[in-house]
Amino acid sequence: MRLSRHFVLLLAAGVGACGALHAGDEKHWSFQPLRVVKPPRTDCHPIDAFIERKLEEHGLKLSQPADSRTLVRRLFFDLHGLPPSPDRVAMFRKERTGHSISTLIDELLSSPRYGERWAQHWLDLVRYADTHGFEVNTERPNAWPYRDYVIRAFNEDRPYPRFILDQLAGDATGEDAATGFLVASAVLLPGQIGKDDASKRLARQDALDEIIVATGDTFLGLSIGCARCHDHKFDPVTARDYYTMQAFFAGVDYGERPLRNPEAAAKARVSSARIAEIRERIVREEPPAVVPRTILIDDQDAARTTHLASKIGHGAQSPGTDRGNKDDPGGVDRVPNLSENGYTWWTNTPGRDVFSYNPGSSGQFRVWISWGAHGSGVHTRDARYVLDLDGDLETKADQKEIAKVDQYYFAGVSQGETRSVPLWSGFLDAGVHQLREESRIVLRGGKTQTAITADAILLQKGAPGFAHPVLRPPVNPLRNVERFGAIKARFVRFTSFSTIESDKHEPCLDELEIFQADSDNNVALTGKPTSSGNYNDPAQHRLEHINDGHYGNGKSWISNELGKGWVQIELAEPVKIDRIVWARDRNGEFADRLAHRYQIEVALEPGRWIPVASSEDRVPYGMPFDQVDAILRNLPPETKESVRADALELARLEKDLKALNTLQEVYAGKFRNPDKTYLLNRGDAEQKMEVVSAAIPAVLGRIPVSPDTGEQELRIALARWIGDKDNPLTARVMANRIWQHHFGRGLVNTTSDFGLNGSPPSHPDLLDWLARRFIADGWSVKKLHRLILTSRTYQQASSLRENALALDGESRLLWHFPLRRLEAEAIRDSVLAVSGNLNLRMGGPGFNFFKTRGGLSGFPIEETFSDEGLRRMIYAHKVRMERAPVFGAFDCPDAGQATPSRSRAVTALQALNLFNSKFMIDQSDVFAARIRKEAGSSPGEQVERAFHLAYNRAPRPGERKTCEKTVSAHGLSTLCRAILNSNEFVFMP
Amino acid sequence: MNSNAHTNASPYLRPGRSWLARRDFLGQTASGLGAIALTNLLAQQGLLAGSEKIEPLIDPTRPHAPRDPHYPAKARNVLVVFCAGACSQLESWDYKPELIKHDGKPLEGGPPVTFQGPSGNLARPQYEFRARGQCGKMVSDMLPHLGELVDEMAFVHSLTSNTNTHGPAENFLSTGFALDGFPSIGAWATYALGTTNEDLPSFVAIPDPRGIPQASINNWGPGFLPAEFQGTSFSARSPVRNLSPPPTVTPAADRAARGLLQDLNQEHLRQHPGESALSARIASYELAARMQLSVPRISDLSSEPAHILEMYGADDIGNSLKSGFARNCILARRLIENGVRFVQLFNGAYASGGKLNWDGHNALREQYDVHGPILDQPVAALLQDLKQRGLLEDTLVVWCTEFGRMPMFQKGAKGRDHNPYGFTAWLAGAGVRAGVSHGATDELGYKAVENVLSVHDLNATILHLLGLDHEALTFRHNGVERRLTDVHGHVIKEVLA
Repeated sequence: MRLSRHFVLLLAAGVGACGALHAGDEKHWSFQPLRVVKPPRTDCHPIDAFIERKLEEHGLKLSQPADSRTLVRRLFFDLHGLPPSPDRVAMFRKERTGHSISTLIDELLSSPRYGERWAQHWLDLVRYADTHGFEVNTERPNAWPYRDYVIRAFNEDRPYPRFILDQLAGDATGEDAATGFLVASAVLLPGQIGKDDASKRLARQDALDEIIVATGDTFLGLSIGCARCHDHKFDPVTARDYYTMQAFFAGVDYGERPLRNPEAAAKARVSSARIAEIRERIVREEPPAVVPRTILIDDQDAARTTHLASKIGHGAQSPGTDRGNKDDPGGVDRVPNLSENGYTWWTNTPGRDVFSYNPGSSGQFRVWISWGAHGSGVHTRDARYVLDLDGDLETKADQKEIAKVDQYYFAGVSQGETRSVPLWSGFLDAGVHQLREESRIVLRGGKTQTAITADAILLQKGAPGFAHPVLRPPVNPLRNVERFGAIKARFVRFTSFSTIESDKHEPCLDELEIFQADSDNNVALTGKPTSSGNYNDPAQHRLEHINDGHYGNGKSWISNELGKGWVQIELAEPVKIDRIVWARDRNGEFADRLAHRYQIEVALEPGRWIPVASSEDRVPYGMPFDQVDAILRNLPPETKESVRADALELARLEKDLKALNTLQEVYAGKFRNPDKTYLLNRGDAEQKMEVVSAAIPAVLGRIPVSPDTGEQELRIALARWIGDKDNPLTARVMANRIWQHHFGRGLVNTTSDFGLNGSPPSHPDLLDWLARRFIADGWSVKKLHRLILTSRTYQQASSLRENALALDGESRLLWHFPLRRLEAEAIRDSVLAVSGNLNLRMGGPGFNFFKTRGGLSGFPIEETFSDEGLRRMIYAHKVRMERAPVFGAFDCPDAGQATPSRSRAVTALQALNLFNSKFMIDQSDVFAARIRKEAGSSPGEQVERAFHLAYNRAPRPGERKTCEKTVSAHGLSTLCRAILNSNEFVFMP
Repeated sequence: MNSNAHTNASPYLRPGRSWLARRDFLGQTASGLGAIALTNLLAQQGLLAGSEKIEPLIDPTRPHAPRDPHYPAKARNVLVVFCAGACSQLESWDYKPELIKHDGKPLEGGPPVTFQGPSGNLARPQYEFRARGQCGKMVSDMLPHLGELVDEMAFVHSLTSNTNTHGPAENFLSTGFALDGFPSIGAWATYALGTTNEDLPSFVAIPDPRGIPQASINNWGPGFLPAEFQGTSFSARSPVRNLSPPPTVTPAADRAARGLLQDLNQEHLRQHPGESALSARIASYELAARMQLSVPRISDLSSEPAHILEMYGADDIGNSLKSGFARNCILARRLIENGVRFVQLFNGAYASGGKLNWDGHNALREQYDVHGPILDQPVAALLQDLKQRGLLEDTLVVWCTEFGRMPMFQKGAKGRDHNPYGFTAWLAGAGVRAGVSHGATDELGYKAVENVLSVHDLNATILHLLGLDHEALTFRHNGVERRLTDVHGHVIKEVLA
C-alpha cells in the first residue's frame, strides 16, 4: 500500500518534538513500500553480502570467525540469556561444522528458555509491570497471564501479524490475555482520580493516550501519540487524525476480567455432560428411603433436651466449606454439617452431668452423637455419653456408658493436628441401643480439661448398619419425592407442623401427586380433597387446586393457619401406591410458605392412619446437601460394582471440573460500547470540538470501518491493517528490532522511531531485504533469527582492529561483533545457573523482590531467596518505578515509559550491588558448594571446575596460580565471588 | 575537555544518543583524525542529521567527570527542599488579608467539587502573619525561623501545575512530566555537568525520616537517561544499600576477592585490548571502593560540633522527627560542602491523611502544628549554615511543593483540598535576586493571576542558574528530543540577580 500525503502528515506530525513539516516529507524512506532488493552476491550468505559490500566501500572487512567457545556462549546468552554448560561447549568443540552450528541454533530456538529470554525484550517495549504505577503503585496481581502469553507466543513462533492481532483484539482470537498489551501502562486507580469531572476526563484521556502511544511506537515505530499534545501548531487535519485513531480504542477500559480458556471450557463441557450422566445413573440406584424412624435432636432443641448445669456459651463455626466448618457440604465419607447454630459448652468437671437428650421414643435405635471440636486443647479429651434407661438420673443401675469421646478431634479421629477454631465434629456411631420412651442420653464430664460441649445427636430405628446415618435431601420448594414400600390406600393426608422462617406464613402446596405403585399414574387427579382450612384468596389459592393437575402459585392450596394445616385426598377407589410428590411452587417463582416439618399418612379406613413419610429423616432445611454424595455414603454392601466405579469417576470428574471452572482473572483490555470521541482543542479534554469516528485517514482507503462498525471489529480492522504485508513499516520495524537484539543496535538505531527524526538505516538495502524475507517466511521470527545467526557477520570475532576502530568506532558497519554487557535478567539467571540453583519452573504469578509492595510500608527488600525466588527473573513480580534490588541497577526499565533499547550504563551502584549484596554472597557460597561436590577438595581441581562452569574454558596458567592461592588462603567462596563479578562472566562475548 | 566539546559533540552519532564508547570519546576529543574521516564518510552517505541540540560528551570510564555548562554558571550546586504532600501557600508564604475578611463565606463562582469532594466555605489562614526581615515580607507564624531569612529569598507566588494528583504532580515538578518514567531534574543536571567530587554520588536524594515521598524514586530517577545519572538515595539514618558485604565476609576475604577480581578483569582486558566497556566496568569497581569509604564518612555526623547540632535542632530529643530531619539537613550541607552537584532534601512522606506530610485535607491546623516545626528551624539553620560557610555563593537553594491548597475548607472538614492553580516556591543563594516576590494569586489565593508561571518555568530557571539552556539540554528517546521542560518553560528573569 502506498501512503498518501495525508497519512504522512499524520505520522510525521507525531514524530520527534512534533516538528514542523516540510514539503517532500511523504517521500521519507520508511513510508515507501519495501523495495525488491537482491543481495549483491549470491555465492555467500545474503546478509554477509550486504554487510561486506558496505565494509568494502569503506576499506573494511569482517573479522575472523569467533572461536567455538565464544560462539556457543554468544548463542546461549543471545537466545537463552543463560551460559552453556561445560559439556555443551565440549561437545560442540568436537564436532564444529556448519551442520552442528545449525543444529545448535535449532536446538536453542526450540527450547522454552528462548521464549523466556525474548519475551523480555517485548515486555520492555510495552512497559509491562505487575503494579499500577503512580503514587500508590499497588499490586496488579493478574497481569502475569499477558507475560506468559508473550513467552508462549515467542516459543510457538506465532506469525507476527497474528501476534499483533492477538494483542489488539485477543478477545476475538481466543487469546484474552494478549490484550494485556492495551492496558500495560501505569494507570491511575479510581481513588487517585479527582472527584471533579475535569479530573476524570483528563484521566480517561491519559489512559487512552497510552494505548495510542503503545500501538504507534510498538508496531509502527512511530510516535503517533505525540500528535495529541502540547500547544504546537498542528495542521488541524493532523490533530483530527490523532483522535480518529483514538476512536479505535474508545471502548477499551483498563481492568480485570476472567481469562476465558477455550480449551478448558471445552474440557469442562465434556466433563459436565459426563458428570450429569453419571449422577443420573447413581440417582437411579437410590434404594427406596424406607427408614422407619429418625430422630435428630440439636443441642439447642429446648423441647427435647435438659440442661443439668448452667451453660457457658455457644461455639459458632466459621463460614467455609472445609470439614467441620459452617457450610461443610459433607461428602461421600461424611454427612453435611448438621450442627445448625453451633455447639453449646459448659465448664467441665469430672463426672458431672451437664446435659441430656430426651428422644421420647421407644425401640431399638442406632445412636449417632456429635460435639464441638476445637484444637485449642481446652475441650475435654474424654467426654462420657451415658444412656439412662429409666430417665431418672438418681438411679444409677440402669445407666450404661455408650461412648467416650475426645472433643479435641473430629469424630473418628484420635491423633494429629487439628485447627484451633470451633468445628462440628461430625457423627460418631455410638452403637445400637434399646430405648424406652422415658430414656435419656446424658453428657457427663470427662477426667481431663476444663470445657465440655454438646451438639446434635441422631437416632435411627432399624438402620441397616450403614457407616453413616441415612438422611434424605432437605425439603425443596421445587419438588419433593417421597418413596415408600407399596401400600394400599384410600386416604392420603399431608400434615404440616411448621413452615420455614419460623412459621412466618401458612403452608402452601401447589399440587399433591399420588402415584399408583410402579407406574406414573397420578391417582390424586380423580380424588376428592378436604383440608383443615383454606386461605382466603380464592383467585389463586383454592382447595381444588391441590389436585387439579396444574402447577404454580396461581393454582395452589394454602392452609388458614400459620405454619400448620393438613390437606387430604380421598381417592376414587383404594389403590396400591408407592410414591408421593409435592412442592411449594414447581414453577420456581416462590420459595416461601414451605412446610419443612411435615408428615404424610395413608389410610384404608377413615381415621386409621399409617405414617409413610416425614421430614424426620431429611437433612434440616437450609443445611448443605449433595444427593449423590448422600447415596454414595450409604451404598449397601450388595451395591453393584459399576456404581462404585461410577462413584470414583464422579469424584475425579468433579474435582477436575472445579479446577477447569476456576477462571484465572487477567488484567487486560475490557471492552464495551465506545464513548464518543471528540476532537480536542490543543489536546485539552476540557475543550471538546466535534465528534469524530474511528478511521485511518480516509485516503488510505482500505480499512472497512464506518461509524457503525462494532467495537471489536474496529480493533480487528486496525490490527489487520498494521499486519498487512503492504504496510511499509511493520515488517521493517520488527526485523530491525530482532536485529537490534542480536547485534546490540538496530540497522535503524532508533528502533521505535522510523519517522522523520529517526536515524536513517545504516544498511537500507539489507533492512528491506530482511523485511521482505521476514514476510516471505510467513512472518516467522524464528526463521529470521536463524537467518541472522547463520551469517558470518554474526559469527565473527569481537576483537578490535586499530584501523577499523578509527574509522567506525561503534561498529555500525559491523566489522566485528560488538561485545556487550548482559542485561540484569541474564546476569541474575546466569549466576543462578552457574551456582546450580536456578529453578526452571515456568509461568504463573511472579516471585517477590520485596517483602511488601507499596502502601505505607514502602518496598522493604527481600534478601533471602529459595525455590520460587530462584526462578528466572522474567518471573519476578515487576514493580513499576521501584527497581528490583541488586539487579535493577543494571538498567532494568522502570516500566514507566517504553524501553525499545536498554541503556548499558556502568555505575558504582551496580558494582556495590554485585559485589556486596547478600544475594551474591549467598550465591557465591552455593557456587562453591557445587564446585566442591563436583570437583572434590583439591584447589587445583576446584579452580578448573569453576572456570569451566563460569567461563566454559580452562584457566590460563597465570590465572590458575592466582586463583589457587586465593582459594587456599581465603576459601573457595572468595574465588566464586570474584568470578561472578568479573567482566568475562557478565559480558556476552 | 573544553566547552566546545558540547557544541561540536560527536556528530556522527546523531541522531540518537551520544553515549559515547570510550574509543569514540577519545577519537572525538583526542586524536580526532579518525573521527573526522568517518564524519566525512558518513556525511557523504547522509547519515548525519544536523542538530542544534547540545548533548554532553561523556567519557564512559568517568561518567561523572565535571563537564562545562552551556554558558558560565551562577550556581555550582543545587539543593532542593521538597515539601511533599502540597504545603499550603495560604498558611506559609502567600499572605491573603482578604481571605480573613471572607472567612466562612462561600467562594463566589468557585468549584462545587474539588479533588477530594464537595467544597465548603472560605477559611481564613490558620496562622497569623507578620512582617519579617528588612524587606518586610509577610510570613506566617508557622515558620518563625525561616521567616527571619526572607531577605535571602526570592519568592514566586504564581506557580501552577497541570495535575491535582500528588504522584503525577510530584512527577511533574521533578521531571517535567506528570507521567511515570521521565528523568528527574537532578539526573538532567548531572547528565549535563557531572560532578566535582567523583568519590561521591553526583546526585543525592535524602528521604524524610517519616518515609519516602509519593512519587518515590521518580523524583530522583534517571528515566531514560543512562543509569549513571540516577540519584543515590540515603539519609542520615538509612545508609546506601550494599555499601559493604554482610558481616560473614571477613575483611581479609573481602580484600582478597577485590584483588582477585582486579586480576581476572585485567587478564580479560588483555584478551580484549581496547574495549572501553570493560575498562569502564573496572573503573566502576574502583569508584565503588572509594564510595565505600567516602559515603559512610560523609554520613557520619559525629564530628559535627554541639553548636551546629543545636542550631539545626538536631539535638531536640523531645521531637525525634524534627531532630531526624535536622540531621538530614546537616547531611545535605556536608554533601554540598563536598561537591555533590545536586541534593534533593525531602520534607514529608507519602499519602497518610496528612499525618506524615503536608496533605492537610481534614485537620490542617492540627497537622501543620506538627509539620511546621519539623521544617522550620532545620531548614533555616541549613540556609544560615550554608551562608556562613560561603557555600551559598555558588549553591542554589530551592524550596518547593507539588501544588497548593484551596482557599476553602472541604465540606465538613477543617482542611483544604488540592489546588494546582496557584502556589508558591522560593529560591535563595547563587544567582538569586534576594528579597523579591514575583507573581501573585488572586486576593483569596485561589488562582495565579499575575505573571502566571508553570513548574516548567521554575525548572528552566534552575537549569539556567546551573549554566544550562533548558531548550538545548536534550536526550533523544523514542523518537523525541526530550527535555526537562517538555516544549515549555521560560527562565523567570525577575528572580535572577
